[in-house]
Amino acid sequence: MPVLRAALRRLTIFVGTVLVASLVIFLIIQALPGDVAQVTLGVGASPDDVDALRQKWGLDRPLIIRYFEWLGGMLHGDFGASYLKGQPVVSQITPRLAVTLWIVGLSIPLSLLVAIPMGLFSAMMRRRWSGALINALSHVGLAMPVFFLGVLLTMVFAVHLGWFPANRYVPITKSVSQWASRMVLPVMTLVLVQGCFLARYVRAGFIDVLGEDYYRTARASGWTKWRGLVRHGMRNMATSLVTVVGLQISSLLVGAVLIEEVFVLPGLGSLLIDAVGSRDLVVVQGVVMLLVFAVLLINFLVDLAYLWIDPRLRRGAA
Amino acid sequence: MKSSRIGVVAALIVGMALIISGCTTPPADAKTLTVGITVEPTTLDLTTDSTAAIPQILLYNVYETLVKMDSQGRIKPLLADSYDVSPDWLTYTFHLDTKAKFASGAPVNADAVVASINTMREAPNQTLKSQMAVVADVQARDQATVAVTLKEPSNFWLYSMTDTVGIIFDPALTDLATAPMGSGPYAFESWVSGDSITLTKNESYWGTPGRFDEVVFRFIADPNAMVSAMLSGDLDIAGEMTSPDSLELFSDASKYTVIEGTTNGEIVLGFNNSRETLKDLAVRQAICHAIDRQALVDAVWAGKGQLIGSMAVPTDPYYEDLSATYPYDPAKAKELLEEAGVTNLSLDLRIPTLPYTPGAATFIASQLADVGITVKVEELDFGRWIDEVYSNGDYDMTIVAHVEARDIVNFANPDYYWRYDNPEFQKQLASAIAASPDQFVPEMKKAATILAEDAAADWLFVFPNLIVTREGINGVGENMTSLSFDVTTISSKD
Repeated sequence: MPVLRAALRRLTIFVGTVLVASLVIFLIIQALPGDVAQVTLGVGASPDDVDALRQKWGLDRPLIIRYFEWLGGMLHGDFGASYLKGQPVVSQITPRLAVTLWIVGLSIPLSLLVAIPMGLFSAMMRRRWSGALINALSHVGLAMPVFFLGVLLTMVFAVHLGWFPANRYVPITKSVSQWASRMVLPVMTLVLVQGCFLARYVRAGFIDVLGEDYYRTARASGWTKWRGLVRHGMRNMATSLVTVVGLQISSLLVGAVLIEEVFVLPGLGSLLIDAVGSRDLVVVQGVVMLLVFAVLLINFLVDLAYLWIDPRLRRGAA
Repeated sequence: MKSSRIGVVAALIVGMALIISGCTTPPADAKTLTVGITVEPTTLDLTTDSTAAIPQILLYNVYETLVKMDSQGRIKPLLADSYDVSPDWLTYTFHLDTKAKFASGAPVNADAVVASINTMREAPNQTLKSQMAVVADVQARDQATVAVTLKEPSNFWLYSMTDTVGIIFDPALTDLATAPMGSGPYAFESWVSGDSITLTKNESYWGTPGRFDEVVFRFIADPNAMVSAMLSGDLDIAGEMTSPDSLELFSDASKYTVIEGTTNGEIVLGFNNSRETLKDLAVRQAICHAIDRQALVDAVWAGKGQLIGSMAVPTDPYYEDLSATYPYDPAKAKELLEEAGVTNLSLDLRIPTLPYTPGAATFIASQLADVGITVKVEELDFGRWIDEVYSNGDYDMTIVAHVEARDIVNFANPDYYWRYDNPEFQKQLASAIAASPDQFVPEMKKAATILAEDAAADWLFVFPNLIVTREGINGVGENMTSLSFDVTTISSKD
């Protein structure tokens, strides 16, 4: 059973990666300059008070013990408790994760909806002025910093036109309409930037296809330019697109922090930044660990997607 | 073919608009006050954490003190309707307002006051503990009278009792970190991490009740987001404008009021006075002469912010303008350095990342370069700054705002990160604090003058209190004399 053996090997690699990652995360975070007790007590604390607080939070115990405690806790879903608030890390992460997942979850499919037609068009029309224009526009979008575009859209749609609120998050469980109206601008901002970014890959992918023998054969057998490209090119282009999308999702999970700042959304990125700032290392560790999990998971899903897109790989695996 | 891209965007907007069809944002409830502030606290336990954002939200609004500081820096009665001071200035007797009660319904009695003062005397937050260090004994004389005896006379102690250290906690309070309970006109309601803290009206408030059913403090760290939230009507008050350049966006007086007051925050260019080069008075004087502070305020903070010249702010009773002690005079600076025989001076300027620091550091580095001092600017995140600069004193110069009231006392502590050890100043400050009340102000002025003349630091400017309110909001204090963002006096016309 080569499939099973391959799966088992992947699982071993996965577990090993997670373990190594957890140790690396733990050690790096311990090595950060700045101590949570000192930052908390702030300007004016005596060394005795700092020591007392460290003791209260168990920070005076050996590293190795604290590492295994943390690791053991995570195995049954306990990421520890924040030093500062005394609340479980999980209960702090969950509402923040929801915000980030909505933003990422909405903006990635929508940016594909923008990117694929844009890339297809600019690949096909690449020798005409219209294709060049679309291509140039995608460069502009790509060069536009997310926070700048966010401020721009806020000024136009929230301040001048007053169509959408520009900041704050309302949970979908509280009010669907409020939630939706507050999602528009942040998602639109990401879609414009991400769409332009992905369009570049779509364009390059289709241009490759245009030079392939199978496309020429398809054309020769009577497929029109456009239909041939969509019917025979999409799948081939998709393999490289999926890789890029996977990478984009991973980086957006924490990279959405810029969007969170501009639109004042309480997402995962801002939790991480705040926790680093206050040296609430248990929270930092928890969030980083979660992100590592997410990235590994996305990689796994991307691998599955290859199998789905490319039948040759399925046959190879069997 | 630009139209196809616009078409896609337009389709997206229409699609989104359809999802939310028919639901424009409802008009803000007239009884809710929404205030934007920049820093979210990590905990609400102010006995442990010294973050200014905690008293900013809770002091006077949720927690009350025996005496209160008004916006002009005067002491007013609050939970104590009067107090007596013994002739030897050692014993303060507070007569509690018998009407006073906590939001929970329990009375604010002498036991609660004694317990709170004792909590503060043992607080892990060193600032609070040191402010209470002068207290020898606290006793309940009867249910409405508390006597506090000091070890030595202190003109500072009563002032400090108007601030965080004077808070009287509800004895029923068990969770300081997430569920504060006090006697103020508003009670703590909820905290949505990353978003806001909501206070509700204390329906059974013992004094003049709050004018709003709900007060929401929203956390908006990004200056642009604060501006757009105010412009789009999401805020009633932008409580801290950290982008002074954008104040002109609010120049329409029919829609907004811009408040420019002062705070307790001295923005200090701190010197590590234990460094060989900086031990030399002439070098410190030269640095002060080399910096054009007015031009710095104009360049970095849109000209908002008064020059002060020593560790005192305009709302301090002992304040006087000492900003002309070492006026901008680069030629004089060069001369001083030459006389001191200092050449090729190179200094590290290690700053925490804060809205005002990078601009100020660049400005200072360039002005000091003009007189031949090389400045290496390094930006540290606040945690690292606390560790390396503040705790370990690993720096030559740094810039940070000192926001606590009467923080001139820090210059009397040789272990403080400025490493400033001047027996003359220490003696003068101690005698000013212990002086008879009528000698307090002149003696404090002498202390502040010693610091200024000794160029113990360079005081760049006092952090301005920049607030924007929408039309119809009244009663916002002009100056921030305590750490509180006091909403108890605020009302709305509609």
